[in-house]
Amino acid sequence: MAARFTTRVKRVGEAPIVAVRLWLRGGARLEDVPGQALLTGRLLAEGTRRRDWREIARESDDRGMLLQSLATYESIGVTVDALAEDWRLALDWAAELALEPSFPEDRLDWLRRQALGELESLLDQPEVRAGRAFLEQLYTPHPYGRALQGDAESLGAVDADACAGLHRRALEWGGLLVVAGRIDEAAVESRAAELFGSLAGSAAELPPVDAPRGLAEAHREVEIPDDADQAHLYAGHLTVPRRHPDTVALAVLAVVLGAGAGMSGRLPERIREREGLAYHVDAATYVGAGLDAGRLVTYAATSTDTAEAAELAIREELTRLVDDGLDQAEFEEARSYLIGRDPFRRETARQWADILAEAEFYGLETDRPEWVTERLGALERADVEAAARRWIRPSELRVTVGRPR
Amino acid sequence: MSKGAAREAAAAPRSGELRPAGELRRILDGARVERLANGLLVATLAAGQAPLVTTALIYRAGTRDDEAGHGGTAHFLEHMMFKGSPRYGPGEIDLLTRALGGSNNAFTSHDMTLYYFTFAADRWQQALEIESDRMAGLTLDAEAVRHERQVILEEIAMYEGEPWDALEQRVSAAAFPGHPYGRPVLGTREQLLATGAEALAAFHQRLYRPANAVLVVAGDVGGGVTEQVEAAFGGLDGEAPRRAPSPPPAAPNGLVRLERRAGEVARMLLSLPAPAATADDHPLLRLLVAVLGAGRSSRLHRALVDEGQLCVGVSADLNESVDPGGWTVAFEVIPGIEPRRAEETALAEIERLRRQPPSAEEVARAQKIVLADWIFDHERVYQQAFLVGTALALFDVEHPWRYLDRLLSVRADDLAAAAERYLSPERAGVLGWSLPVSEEPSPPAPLPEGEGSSRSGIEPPSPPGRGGLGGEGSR
Repeated sequence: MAARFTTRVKRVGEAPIVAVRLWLRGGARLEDVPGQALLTGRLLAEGTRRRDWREIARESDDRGMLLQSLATYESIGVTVDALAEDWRLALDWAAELALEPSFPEDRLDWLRRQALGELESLLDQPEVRAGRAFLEQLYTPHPYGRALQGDAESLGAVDADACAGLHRRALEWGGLLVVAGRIDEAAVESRAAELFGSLAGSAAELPPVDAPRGLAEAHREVEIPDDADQAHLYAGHLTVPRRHPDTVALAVLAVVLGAGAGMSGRLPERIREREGLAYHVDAATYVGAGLDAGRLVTYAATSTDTAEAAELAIREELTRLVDDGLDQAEFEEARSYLIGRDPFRRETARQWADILAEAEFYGLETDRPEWVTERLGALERADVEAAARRWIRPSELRVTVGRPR
Repeated sequence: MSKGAAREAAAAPRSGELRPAGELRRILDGARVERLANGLLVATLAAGQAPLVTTALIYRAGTRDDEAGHGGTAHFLEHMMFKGSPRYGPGEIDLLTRALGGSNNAFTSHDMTLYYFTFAADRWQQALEIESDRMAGLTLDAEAVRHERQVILEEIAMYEGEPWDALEQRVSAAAFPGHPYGRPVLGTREQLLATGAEALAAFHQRLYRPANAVLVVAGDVGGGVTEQVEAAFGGLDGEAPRRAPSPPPAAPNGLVRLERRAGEVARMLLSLPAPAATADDHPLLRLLVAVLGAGRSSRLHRALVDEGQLCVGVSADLNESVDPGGWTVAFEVIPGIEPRRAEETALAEIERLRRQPPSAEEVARAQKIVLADWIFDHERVYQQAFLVGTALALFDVEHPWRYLDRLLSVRADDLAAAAERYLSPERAGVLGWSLPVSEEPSPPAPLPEGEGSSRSGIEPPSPPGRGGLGGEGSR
């Protein structure tokens, strides 16, 4: 049985900052009704047994803290970024919000309306509306296929008791605390033990979720709100979850396709630089991966009359990658890029806090720079080509094109 | 919260005790500034939190320097800096950057253009070779120019489709009539079509000179930086014309209203005049803007979001520009709420702050938030490089220190005059609305994962102003 609650503490950085991340397992992946996790997460900062939302807002602002309670697909939790001198306060706030929420009903009503407003606003952005339709196309009925915000009907079905219930279950599923920054590690560990000692023991097992099947249609056209003559093209399919051993090879493939520096990579070089079809071209190979599968995503913002040409270019480049593989120089450049980039991810207290939390949450070793370097260093071109054959499947591409109405 | 923590909070320094802002002093004291014989200003900034080095090369050349009829040249040239110079063919800079595991990019604003690379500390010198080569000259091949023009036309279309960008463009034009800050950084389609290799070469020849540039080398730099910079840039010619001053922006007469119809969400952007970044009043206005919009307990956030429950979120920002610029308030209205109600509430809060300057407690809170945000925003090496480089290029290296020092010294009583000057929309300002095309509610649907982090708890979905009103372009 996994431990119910774990703590990671790291002294890092020159700036006088402390970053606290407190994640409880749960999130939209395990909610009963769409939107329940989002409301539960946000309600953590709306009142505790000791303070109402006004006091929380004022007292955290008084110290210049960035205090946020939130939900993702896999967790609910609290993040605090604060000046290092306030490390104890930051830790205490995180504990109070996560362990003693009061779930005030009047705030829930406001959060529902705010979530709906937010949803409407997001869907008013052309690339988001098209991107949302693409996720639905890939993941339905898995929770990744729907919005964290749910919809008007589902939000209306969530009451304070339901939020409190999800929070109780999340405490049983357990979680983690990460504190990184210019801190005294021993003092932080001691305080964390005092605050979270009640979460000792083993974690309850996570229930299963609906497997992603996707929509039947392989090619989808959606209307987008846009004054301009721009189409937003997404093409891809599911790949692997975060813990999968092929993620390292897939990271190299993403760079080869276009996730590297500037406008380098096969897709930007062809679609933007050679053919001038788009200003923005992007590629990723396991984006969104968590406990469940992430996805291959290629994206181009292009004129409506060149969307087909851009789609064809994407298909051809993916096929060429699978059929012909990489040349050695291309492979070595991509690998070297990833090794060289790794220190960029570890500059700040907040970056370190996020890396440690992710490593702890998914059982990874990505918090160790030498592990990343060794894994990349041990990779050979043939490994990457084999991963391309396993995980890049041009014949199974799902495509969503958002076009102005 | 524990009793110990409460005691700690109670004992925490208040506004007057925030000085000195040690983190800023640490960064600035680490900067060594020299000038090469050809006029290139070089700052070396030792920062060892990671084995990385950022180089930032800033030219005092931005949208304000575009020739008449050739709007967008500064930004167009920024793109072309990656499309061929004597030693690096089209696309080679990106390939080399990728092979070395680095990152690069550039952006153009109204006042300047900035190019940067970040590399591991053992290979950062590559950036010097690239920058000196493309400062010396560009190939500007006609086909490459034509091709890149098409890419920028796509970029313009992308921004026109983005609701906040489109609104911001219109508000800027109305807020700065006759002044370069009112022009779009990307230019217009017509201006782009009228701009070819000749105009780009002339702009480069005129302004991409050592004496018109600042180079910052920041991070885990090791020794011998000056010698290496001298070797790379010392042989280049230095002369550049002094930038002709622009006429001061003519403030709008009264509150100008404009409206566009797009999408399904009501969005408001209010722009009001602000002083230049070097003006004594600027830090005071920064505090007033923070009282209005920084943090969940700020006046606008409470009135429009948490208590008023009229808007999804609200942001208030202040530009730092060479000439007098603007400060803004932006929000999106909750469906079903009458936009006029949100507007009246926002204007009433601005009026209230003008009539009743903030309490000492509010000022202390705003000072703490501004200071904390400043520290959060300068943790990374590249952020420190941009700070020092921008200060040297547009102001002077001690500008950030003077600014923060003044801001943290202010008392509540000092703010009344500034509030009277800058919180008067009825005297001069632009209020722009982007209103729904149809009053029919759009069907709710799902959306992407994750949540951002922001001071107000919930990020307004697409806050305006990459770089504030007037914006900036990036390749």
